[in-house]
Amino acid sequence: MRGLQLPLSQTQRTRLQRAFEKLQSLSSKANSDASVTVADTIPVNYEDAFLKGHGTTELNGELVATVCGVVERINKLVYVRGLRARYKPEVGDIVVGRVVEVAQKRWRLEINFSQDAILMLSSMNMPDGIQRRRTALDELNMRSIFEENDVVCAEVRNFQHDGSLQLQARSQKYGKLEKGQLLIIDPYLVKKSKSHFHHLEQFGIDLILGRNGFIWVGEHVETRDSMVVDKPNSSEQSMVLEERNQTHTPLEMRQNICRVANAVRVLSTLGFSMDADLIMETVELSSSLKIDIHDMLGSEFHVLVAEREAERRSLMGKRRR
Amino acid sequence: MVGLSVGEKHFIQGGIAQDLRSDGRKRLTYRPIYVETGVIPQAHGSERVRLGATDVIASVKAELGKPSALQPDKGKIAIYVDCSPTAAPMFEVVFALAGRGGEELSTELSLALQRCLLGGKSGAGAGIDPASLVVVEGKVCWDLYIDGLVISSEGICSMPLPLLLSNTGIPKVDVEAETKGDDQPEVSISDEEFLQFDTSGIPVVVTITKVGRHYIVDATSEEESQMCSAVSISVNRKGHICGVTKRGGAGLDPSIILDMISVAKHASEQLINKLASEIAAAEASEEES
Repeated sequence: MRGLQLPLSQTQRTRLQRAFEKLQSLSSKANSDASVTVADTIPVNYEDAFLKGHGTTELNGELVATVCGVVERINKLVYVRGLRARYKPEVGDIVVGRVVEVAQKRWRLEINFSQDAILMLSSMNMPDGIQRRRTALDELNMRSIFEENDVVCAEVRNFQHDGSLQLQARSQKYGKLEKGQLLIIDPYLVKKSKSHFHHLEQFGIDLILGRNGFIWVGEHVETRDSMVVDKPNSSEQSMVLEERNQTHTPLEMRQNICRVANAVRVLSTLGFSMDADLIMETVELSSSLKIDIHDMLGSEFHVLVAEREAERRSLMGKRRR
Repeated sequence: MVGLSVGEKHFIQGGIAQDLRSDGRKRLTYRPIYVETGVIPQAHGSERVRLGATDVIASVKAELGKPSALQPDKGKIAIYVDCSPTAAPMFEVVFALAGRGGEELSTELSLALQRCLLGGKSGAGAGIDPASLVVVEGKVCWDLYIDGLVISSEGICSMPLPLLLSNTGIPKVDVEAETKGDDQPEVSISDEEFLQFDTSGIPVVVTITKVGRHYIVDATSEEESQMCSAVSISVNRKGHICGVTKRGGAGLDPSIILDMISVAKHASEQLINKLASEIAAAEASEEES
């Protein structure tokens, strides 16, 4: 059953099976018939002129899929979107990446794409917030902004002519992410939505859903407005740096971070799309049932979440009608 | 292995210090272990175990053979662990460079297992009693071949050494029916009757990783990158220590090792119970299917 690596008992297995069947029957879109595996024929009206896209090939006069995935049709283009594929970036996407290399006037970030993304020094705000030309000194001090293995949040700016990706981190909400944990899930589970930055107020936690499948869960950081130049702030910052080495995240916030992270892990194992509301509901479900944080990764909770989701979708469907 | 930023490392260390790891576990809690028995039908006993991202298959085969002249009243046991190049990228890369990264680890693990299971040179403290493997003294004995294959591994220290051993808890060894004659007794192997192996003496290996000032059990690869050092301690059901192996990292004060041993004894009780229940569940589901 989707190769779930969970020790499920017999009753749990049947319950999970039932929940998945219910979910499948509820997905009313015509696309539910459009999932294909390799060498399946794609139903196309051969009289219309259509364009063969990625993941398809013509074999014996028929259009056949070459990857396992879902058939997508956009105007005349017919292509197969693979499910476990790497992230396919679009301009304006929010991504979370890890710095792999500090190169000349740029940083290279790994974002689960076929190539490393580039973050130019000029696309990054200077620490003092002043807009100015980047000098050679700035270039030498790049490491003080981002080092290797730092986790960075940025936005996709454009594609270069050679296919590589350029990022920008001009706004205050982008930048280095600390005090938290990074989770890696499949990119297709994060759909494009209005906002990818979620500040969970009642927990005091930042949740950033990167479209490349990197999810950041961490302590809330106040975004300062860089246009307001405060001289006293610079001395404060250096002090905070030393303090940070001694103070750890408080226990309660850490528990909340772990709960949210486990909720994300459970949802990704079950293959449900990531959504801040869904994650919050899962967290509330676990705390209302007084489930231990670690037991959230156990088989019982997985089955409960699947059943809850099936219930929720059937209710939503009924409401629409 | 993917690197970690300073902020993340700090977070992990803070978590361990506060007894709340990244996935909510306590310091001495194991992740769920997934056990499947009977994966290799040709072997007398086999098992596949998954713990986190680590996946290991182990099997036991028994053959009739002649005991060695030095120890005519004992059977023979051969233990070998193989790390396949697909297990972790580092195995593959070194392999391609005509070095053999996986082999080093294989020999290390095989030796460690041999020490736990077979005891010292004199045979003292062995997990499996070789004397129980003899059929006709001096002439015929059972040769046990215990093999492990690491399919995928997440971190060296978190190798599920304990799990390989739980497999040897279930070999089904044929009982031979007759013997006669002086020089070469004739032995017929019964296909129906099976002798269950005595597994009460088999130890379980617990790997304790020291991060900062605290000890954790079952480290993920991120936590392992933060470790000072790790010690693998094999403990059997009676609480006796069967072997201690120190792995990598910094040097350790002897008092710390003694401390770790007591922690390991405590953690091994839970692990043994957990494994026993998992194996029982796996066998039950195997019988159903």
